[in-house]
Amino acid sequence: MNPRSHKRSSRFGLTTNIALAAAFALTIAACGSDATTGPAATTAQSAGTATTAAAVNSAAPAAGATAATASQPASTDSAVKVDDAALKALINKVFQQDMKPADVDPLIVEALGRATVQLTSAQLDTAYTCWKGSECKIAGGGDTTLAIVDAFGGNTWRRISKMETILQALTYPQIGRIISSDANFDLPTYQSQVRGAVAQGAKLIVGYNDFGDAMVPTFKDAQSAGAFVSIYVGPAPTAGASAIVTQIVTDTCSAGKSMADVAAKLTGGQGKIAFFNGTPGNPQGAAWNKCALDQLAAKSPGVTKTFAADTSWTPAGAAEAASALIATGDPVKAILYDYADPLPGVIDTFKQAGQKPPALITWTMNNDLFRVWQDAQGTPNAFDLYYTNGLNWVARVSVTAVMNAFLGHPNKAVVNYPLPFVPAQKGMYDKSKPGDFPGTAIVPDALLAKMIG
Amino acid sequence: MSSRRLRPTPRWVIGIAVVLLLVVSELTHSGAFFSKATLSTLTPFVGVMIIASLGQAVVIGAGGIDLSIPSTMTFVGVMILKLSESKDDRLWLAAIAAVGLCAIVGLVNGLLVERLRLNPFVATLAVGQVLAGVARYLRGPVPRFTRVPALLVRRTRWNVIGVSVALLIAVGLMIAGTLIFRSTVWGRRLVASSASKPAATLIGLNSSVFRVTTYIAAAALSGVAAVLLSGQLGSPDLSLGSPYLLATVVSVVLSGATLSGGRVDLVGVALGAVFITVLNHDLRVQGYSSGFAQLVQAVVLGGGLAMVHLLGSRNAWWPRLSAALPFRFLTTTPPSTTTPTTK
Repeated sequence: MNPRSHKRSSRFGLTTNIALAAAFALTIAACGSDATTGPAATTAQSAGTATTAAAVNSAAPAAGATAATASQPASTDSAVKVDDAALKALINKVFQQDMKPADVDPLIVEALGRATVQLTSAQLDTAYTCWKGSECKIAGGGDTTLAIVDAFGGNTWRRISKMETILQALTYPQIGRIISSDANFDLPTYQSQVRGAVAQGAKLIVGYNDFGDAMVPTFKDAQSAGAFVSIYVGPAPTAGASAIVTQIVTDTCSAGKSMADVAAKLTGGQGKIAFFNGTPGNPQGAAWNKCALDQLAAKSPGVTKTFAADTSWTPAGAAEAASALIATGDPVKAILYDYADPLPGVIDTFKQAGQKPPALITWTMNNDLFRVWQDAQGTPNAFDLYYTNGLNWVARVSVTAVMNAFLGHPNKAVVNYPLPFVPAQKGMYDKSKPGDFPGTAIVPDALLAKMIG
Repeated sequence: MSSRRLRPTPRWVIGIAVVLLLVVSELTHSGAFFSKATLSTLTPFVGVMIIASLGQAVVIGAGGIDLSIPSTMTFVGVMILKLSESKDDRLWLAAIAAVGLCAIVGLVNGLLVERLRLNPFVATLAVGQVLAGVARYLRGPVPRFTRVPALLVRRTRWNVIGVSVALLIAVGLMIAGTLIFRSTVWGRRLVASSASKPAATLIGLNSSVFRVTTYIAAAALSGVAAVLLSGQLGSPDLSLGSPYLLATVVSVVLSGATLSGGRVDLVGVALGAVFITVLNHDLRVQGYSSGFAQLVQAVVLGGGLAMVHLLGSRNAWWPRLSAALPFRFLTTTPPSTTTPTTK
């Protein structure tokens, strides 16, 4: 055998092996994962200015909103006195529209009521300490441990949600220790962190579950061991109360129908629209896509979906999807999307192509998107924008849900929060806040200033 | 022109594939593919992919591989945000510092592989993990700055009849790289060191130094690509470099390079990058999911390597096939050009 050809064949052998391994890995990746990453998965969500409830967390306590909470060490009484006006203002803020407490699930009202409670500056310092680290003790608190288990904690939305969880926990005198973990999108890590939380004595477990039903057995084990688990925003559709005491989620199908209604209104009942989704095959996208299409077929047959693309909820993915949409040559009148953060890049892409941006109908909110929208008003590139609230506050409802279970109060297995789509208005952009700050977050400004790095 | 039988080369094959793909794109885009609107939004991504792939190609040519490219790009995006603080007057400082840091990352990669004899897969993957952690730490939990300076956005979105400045820079780098490898003493020494370390040592070259240089070049090119991509997107996040792990390897493979090192054709690499980016774009336009696009990418990678194998062994099968054809081809010379020769 020719030595040269022998060397060549062995080289190609190695190459082929590497190629097969890489091709196999790519194929596996293409076949999808179980991850059902929520809208907050990749970058961060953002801001707005809604100021209707600003007084709730201002320095001066709201009238009547005196708290019987963490200032009363180790008390078994977790009741708080809630000012109705403050509660109403907070409900309006988180839903970004006028909404009666009676229109919202009682658990949500209860959680938001606790959120109106003024925390002391010492408590806010404690909250910051807890937020910065992975374990903290609450001076004067009880002997119950709360575990914040996040499948991913690396973006602004998740970090703000963590703070919401901590602030809500501080209104319960029974909680004396908070531990937290971040699995960085790794399912086995997430499973072991939940088990670890139980091993560390956590009786209350709260988190954003990116892995859907794949986490159900682990949560079930945790509850069997005596803990109470609640997840928010990202659902585990097949989980029963034996695995998760309460899921705080939205009715995805209703959200899809609402988006379709807004699209029909913006297009005048006639025209083409596009759907942008997150990771390929995620159940959230599949659900709202189908319901939106059903709603359009039933009520606005003149509005047709001509384009759909995955974006993986990343700026690059959204920009590439916008580029592909432009390349189709179809003049779409609206883009429907379930995450606001990458949308400034979509608008920029249309501007770069010299085309007028279509209307945007999106879940969540983004300070930078409001800036782009505001800058475009009065110019040929002006576009309509409908959005929902930022959803970070939902983490608070999870805390209240596990505490209620812990205290023996009855709980619903699933609590749905409304997701109304509202039009953007001038003044929504808050220059003092980061571009991806969620505007409906219920975090005091002084504390937020410390959090921004 | 000499009369010779056709000898298909990888560049020849990928060149035809790109032309066919562009024709198909034009047909499937209802004639809108070459419109300014489409080109102005597509060519920036093509340019970035070419630049990142050129870096990968240089390392692969030296028998290594750089799996830290995605993390390096993400790191640069974070550094641009952090150092510029969204201010135009700090942009150049931020960009130069970021690319400079990339060169240091490349140096670390190179030293780990060449001095400590670590496997390049493991070494660059580890460095990439470290960089990802550093990027996440530097970005902070709630970053104050999420937009790159407006000046960078304006500069990177500049185009000539739809052709992005990123693509123009990529073509410039490709030409410069080709000339350096072919026409300069330093380049020829780098090629010799990449092609065969023992042979280079025997002729008195410090081949390790030259091979370390390939990692530095790759990291610096990743940095340039990341700066351009950050400007294009406006808000670089922690996923900035993610699409450039296997796609850059696929681009290099499509150029006919073998992953164990040897000949690398930068023009072919650029064509491979064009092919993979336009293919992904076309699949999106046709409404296929990004999961399907990944599947296609896997098939292309497998097909590309099969092509490399077939073309590498063409002396065994082409004469017989060619003789069996009822016609004869007139063609030019077989592959030559660019960088390292075979090991």
